[in-house]
Amino acid sequence: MMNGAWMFNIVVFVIFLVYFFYRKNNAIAALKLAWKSFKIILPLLLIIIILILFIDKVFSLEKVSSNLSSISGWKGYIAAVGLGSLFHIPHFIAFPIGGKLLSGGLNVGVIAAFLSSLIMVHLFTIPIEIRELGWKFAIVRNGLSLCFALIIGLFLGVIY
Amino acid sequence: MIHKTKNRHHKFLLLLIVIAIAIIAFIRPEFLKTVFFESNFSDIFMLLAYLPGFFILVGLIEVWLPESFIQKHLGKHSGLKGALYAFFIGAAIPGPFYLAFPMAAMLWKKGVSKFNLSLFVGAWSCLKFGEEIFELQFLGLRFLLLRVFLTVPFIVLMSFIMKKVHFEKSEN
Repeated sequence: MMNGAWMFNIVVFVIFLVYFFYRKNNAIAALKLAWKSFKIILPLLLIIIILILFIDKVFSLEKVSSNLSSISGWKGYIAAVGLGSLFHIPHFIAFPIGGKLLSGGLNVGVIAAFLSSLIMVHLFTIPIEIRELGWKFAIVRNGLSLCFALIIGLFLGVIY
Repeated sequence: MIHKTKNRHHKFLLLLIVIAIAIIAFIRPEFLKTVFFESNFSDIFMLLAYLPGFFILVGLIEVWLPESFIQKHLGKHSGLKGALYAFFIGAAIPGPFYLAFPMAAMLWKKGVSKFNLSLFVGAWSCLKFGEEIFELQFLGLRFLLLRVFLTVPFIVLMSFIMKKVHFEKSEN
């Protein structure tokens, strides 16, 4: 799966090189702007990486998600949405875990709620969101996404 | 001035974390050892792998596309076409979720409407063209289609709500 990231980096780099030979000054300006926007998130990124390292050790996602099946009813949905917002993992790790839960016989609605909040709500990157787009945007978006993850789960559990 | 206080704020947070680590090191050094030496760093690496290309892309877009162009195609009066553009741009660029925000901030500075901005961030979070193949593989087509067709209306609804919220950009 690293291939995707490598390919993306190489494609952008080639575009940049072509542009560099075509318009040198503009390309350098673009590089400066890139560094400027990177510097905005750098300190927050360091903090977030340390937090994610710790949270991964305290709760392992596999263990936590297998515990979901022992919580029944509406509490299961709430737990799924809450746990989903704690972890920061790329989609290609989230989906296999969902598949494992599905073949383990967990309610589809709970899985959908878990995956939806896993991919839409990220508790630890909220500082970056506030820094870039303001706290109102961050609070409204994350609050609504949490509610929607719950509703999507409930709907999908009924119609699946 | 604001910039300075913000930086101090980050330093304060970093200091708190250093203190917390020091306390853990004092009470349970073996826990700290497992965190820093036996962690699975491939997840963290995945979070960082898109960084160089991504920020060069942001810089290039910022230099290439003039404000008038972005305002015309993604601004307040871009209509349905602008909304579709915003949605597909969000779904097409690969990368972890937190990178949506620097890109969104840059687009916002150039005059993208709030509605389209929210669509862009929402599409980035729930639908990645490059990664839906994994959902198909592990959860099946039925789950994939149901989830996408339930999520997209919510993203649109959220964008309508966002349009009404008067949020402001924090000073950089």
